[in-house]
Amino acid sequence: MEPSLNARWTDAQVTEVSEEPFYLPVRDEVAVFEAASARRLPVMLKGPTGVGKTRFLRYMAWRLNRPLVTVACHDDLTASDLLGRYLITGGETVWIDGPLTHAVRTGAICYLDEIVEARKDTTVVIHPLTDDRRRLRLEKTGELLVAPPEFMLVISYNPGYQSLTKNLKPSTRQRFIAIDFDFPPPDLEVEIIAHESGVDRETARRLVQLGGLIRNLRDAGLDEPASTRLLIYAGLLIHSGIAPRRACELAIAAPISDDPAVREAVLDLVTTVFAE
Amino acid sequence: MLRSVLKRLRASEPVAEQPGQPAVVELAELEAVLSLYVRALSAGSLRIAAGPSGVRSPATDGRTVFLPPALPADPSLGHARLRYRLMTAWTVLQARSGCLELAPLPPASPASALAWYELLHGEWVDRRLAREWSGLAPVLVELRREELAARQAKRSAGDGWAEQVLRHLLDLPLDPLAASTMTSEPPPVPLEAEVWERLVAALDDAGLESLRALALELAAQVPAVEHPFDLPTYRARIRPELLTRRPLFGTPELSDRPASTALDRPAVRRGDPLVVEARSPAQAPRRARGSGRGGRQAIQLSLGDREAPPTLSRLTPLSEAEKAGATLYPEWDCWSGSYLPDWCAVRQTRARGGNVELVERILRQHRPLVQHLKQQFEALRPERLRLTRQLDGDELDLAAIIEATADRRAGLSPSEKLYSRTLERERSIALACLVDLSGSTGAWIDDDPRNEQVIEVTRRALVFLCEALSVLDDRYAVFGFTGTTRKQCQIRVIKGFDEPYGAEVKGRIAGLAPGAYTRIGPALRHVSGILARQPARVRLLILVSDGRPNDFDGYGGRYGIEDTRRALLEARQRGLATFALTIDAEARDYMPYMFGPYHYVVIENLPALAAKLPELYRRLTLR
Repeated sequence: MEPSLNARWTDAQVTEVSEEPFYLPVRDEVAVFEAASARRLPVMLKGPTGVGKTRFLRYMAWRLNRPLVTVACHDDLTASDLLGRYLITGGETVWIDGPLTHAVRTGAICYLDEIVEARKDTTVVIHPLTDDRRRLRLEKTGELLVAPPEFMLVISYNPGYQSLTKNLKPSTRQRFIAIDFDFPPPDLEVEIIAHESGVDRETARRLVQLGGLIRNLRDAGLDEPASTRLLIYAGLLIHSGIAPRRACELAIAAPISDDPAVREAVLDLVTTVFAE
Repeated sequence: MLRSVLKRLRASEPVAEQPGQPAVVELAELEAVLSLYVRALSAGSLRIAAGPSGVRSPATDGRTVFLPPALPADPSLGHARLRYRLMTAWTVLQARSGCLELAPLPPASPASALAWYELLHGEWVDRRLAREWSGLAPVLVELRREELAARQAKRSAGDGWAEQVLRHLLDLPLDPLAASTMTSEPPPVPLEAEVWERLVAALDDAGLESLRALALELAAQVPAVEHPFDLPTYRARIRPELLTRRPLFGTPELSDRPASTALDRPAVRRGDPLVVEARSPAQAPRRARGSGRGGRQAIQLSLGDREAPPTLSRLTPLSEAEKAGATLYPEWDCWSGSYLPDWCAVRQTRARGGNVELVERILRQHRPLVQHLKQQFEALRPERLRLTRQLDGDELDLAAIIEATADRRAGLSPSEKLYSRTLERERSIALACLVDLSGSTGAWIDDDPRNEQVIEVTRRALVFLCEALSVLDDRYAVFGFTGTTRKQCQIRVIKGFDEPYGAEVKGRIAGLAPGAYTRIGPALRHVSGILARQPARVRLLILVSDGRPNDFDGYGGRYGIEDTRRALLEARQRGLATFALTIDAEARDYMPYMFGPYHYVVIENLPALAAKLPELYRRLTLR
């Protein structure tokens, strides 16, 4: 581990996943990801927020035994933030690798989370890494890095984002194979919630039932329907002794919508599923 | 709750004048929430509507849950609310569990078979509800207790067998475990004990098959059953005459053959207050204002729109006279898989002006909302953006200088871009709003306390949108569309891209009136052509519509949907973003197919549409 790196980067971090993260495969995503890794293909994890994209990636990093470099993208992220820059320390100037460069050098998995948030000109720097030459040119140091076989580029993308100004350019998205993520099937989601929050099966089952009902309102103007993550949060509160109805109100109803009618309907669903 | 009480006291003086009159909760107050509730519970397959006034029980036709227009607030408003919720959930479960599928109850079976089945399946739904939506179980138990108490108070020696069995069943606990420990004495009915045991067991079955069989058995054993007999009030009666089959668009996968689309719809009894009549759009514009509640009419599409492909005789090109003064557009013919060239004649005119006072009144009535929208839209104003690393600018860029210094020390030639400057970030958005002015917008909104027409809500929506947009520099235009057949497609310009939003535009909004049909394709092609010429980075077309594509000359069903989908595809290929706001509750069946997932919103509670339109625009153009 290089703590100095993590301290230098404000929007990125390197993690060595040493313990197996809890992840239940939904379909063939593990095999697909392994194949993509073996064939050095860049991967796009596509799906709504809170359904396990990041967890899946941690799990894969553990399985493939690679360090994971995660970059949280935002609209002030510059190419230098990804590639690196010279800094003055003491009387000397030192080149500091950015997270992307670091990942290329060390053969890590580089994960650009919520790529649409990044400016379009920033996104372009990843293009040369996504074709079969897998190269990264650093203008400043004059280096031409060729990514080792272990290096892998992964981005996440949430198509549910309705803002027209935030969309992934076709020229970018068509460089990736896309693994679709959606809410896990009910049985799996029960397992996940029970495991992650510590609630019993029956409570987990109720939470999943509630999640399913709320997700039926997807086209009613919900920004994001109740994600697995929110259901887990509700479970955590319940496990800590908060009454189920109140826990769901706090963890699910309030965060998902500001629309009073939608919120009230969600609360009605909570009281339909959970007894006092 | 308090607000609603006050509202009611203010709104209806007669209630306040009659001290003995019990307070009620009106469905209209809860409709916005309940319509979302029913959508969630039924996975979008059911909607709610008000039943005839005076009715205290729910009912369903398999697509709509009809709820009582009002419930007594007894003992409190909260209880009435809970009862509404329970009735809704109960009816959803009834419809969803296949209780309404009467087979194998043969059509010729005696009335007593239906009576027995209705009674038994009601108990079955109760049990199922308590298990599946256990949060409602306490309400249900309470209602059952009330029901039993009321029935026992009224009991007499003349009570029929069904009544006695029902009382007996209501006395059983809902929980199967508790029930099994009880010694369930058979009721004093000429029934074998063995049949009674089977019956009690079947109530907790997963399926309904054994109950249906039992109903037939009971009808044979105890034929003298009163039908229809008095069911518990929270239960929805099975009304075979109301039931409609799920039509064609159950899934986005459209069936291939038009021949298979013949609609098998049982005849409905006219005049039945529960039946929402399908009507042809031609009637709509002339529809006289109904008297009181009787004028209520659900927004419903013409069901006669599933037609065979046009025969060759109808495939005649437009004549010169029909083309005169019109812009011609092709139409996608899904039956042949090709475009029909120059098929539709679109004529663009200015919308007629009306009384501006109408718009001013809307503004006065909704001042707080308009203010709120404007505030929200102000947040969309272009923010000042600091551009770093510029060759020139108002300030030095410290980070760039440090980097350049470091570069120089490292022996590299440093960058000259050492300044920063601020820039107004341009939004560069053009919006074309296309509004459905077809005859169906003249329909009265089902169960709306204001007793409004759809067009009134559209009018409000446009006023709100224009007001909200007045704080931004976004370019926008508003068009209405209507028409009769492909020969006369009308585009009414309500506000052009280069027109200011002023008295004239307000007058045109005020003058909007329902026209005839909903031929969406040519309207989309025309407006997307105009929009595509607008200089903007993001070009957005929002369609506000109350129904599926429909026109007099066979533009309906799959044909209309396929052409609309094609027109949208063309728009997207031109680089336009498309989005739809619809009030058609059945829209979920075909909207994803036409607009794609995430690109449409279905509004169930119609009056909410007005504020939703600007909100949608805001969300779509957020940075």
